[in-house]
Amino acid sequence: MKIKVRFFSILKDVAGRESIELELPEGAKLRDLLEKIYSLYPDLEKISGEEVGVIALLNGSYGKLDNELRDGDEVALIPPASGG
Amino acid sequence: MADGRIIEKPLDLNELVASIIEDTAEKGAGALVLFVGYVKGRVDDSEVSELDYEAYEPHASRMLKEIAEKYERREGVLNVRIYHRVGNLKPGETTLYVAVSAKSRHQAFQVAKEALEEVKHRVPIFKLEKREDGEYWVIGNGRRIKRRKAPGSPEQS
Repeated sequence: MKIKVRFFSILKDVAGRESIELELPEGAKLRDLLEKIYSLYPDLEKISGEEVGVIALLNGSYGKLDNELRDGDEVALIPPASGG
Repeated sequence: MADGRIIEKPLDLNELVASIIEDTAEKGAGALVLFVGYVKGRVDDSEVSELDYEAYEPHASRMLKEIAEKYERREGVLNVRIYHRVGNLKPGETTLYVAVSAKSRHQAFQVAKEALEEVKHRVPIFKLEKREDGEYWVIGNGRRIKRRKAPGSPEQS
């Protein structure tokens, strides 16, 4: 199944792109997607442990690592929001 | 009726206040608290040229509306409206509006404060601060990280 991943704010700079489409096996969870992203972009994992909390939104809602993904889902990786 | 969304242009505050009072006076409201955020012209002794706001749409608009609806259900609250601007905004330009009308000033102030904090912490809106000493990503509640490189910059191609 295909999952679209979007990067926002500083995470866009770290990944070096605004979005990517990833192929994952059926039944994959948000946790699996993050592992794949971190393997593709090690700097993202590094920054999430050191400088910035990385938060995943699944189809626009705050996601949990155990959330199962479906074909066509969109995951946004964001730092803590900074509106205002 | 509660309202909330991302907008590009500044709001006419007189129009906003008049509209809320017209909608709520007859229902028993007697207090309106209006918070207006605007771009700082100076941060950490450095001059700011602009703030570049980005929102994850349509979800940011949906969350703003949900927050307005949630706080409008509070006891004594008659109307909540929340609007957040995006784009390149210069110092002094307005960025965020949170308006709460209620039966009492205590309710209006309290709910406006809580709604504002929820907007700032939950809604996927991000800003890049452009100042004389460089560009800074603003993370969460005011933390700033200097921008090192941008997507598509030569060193990444």
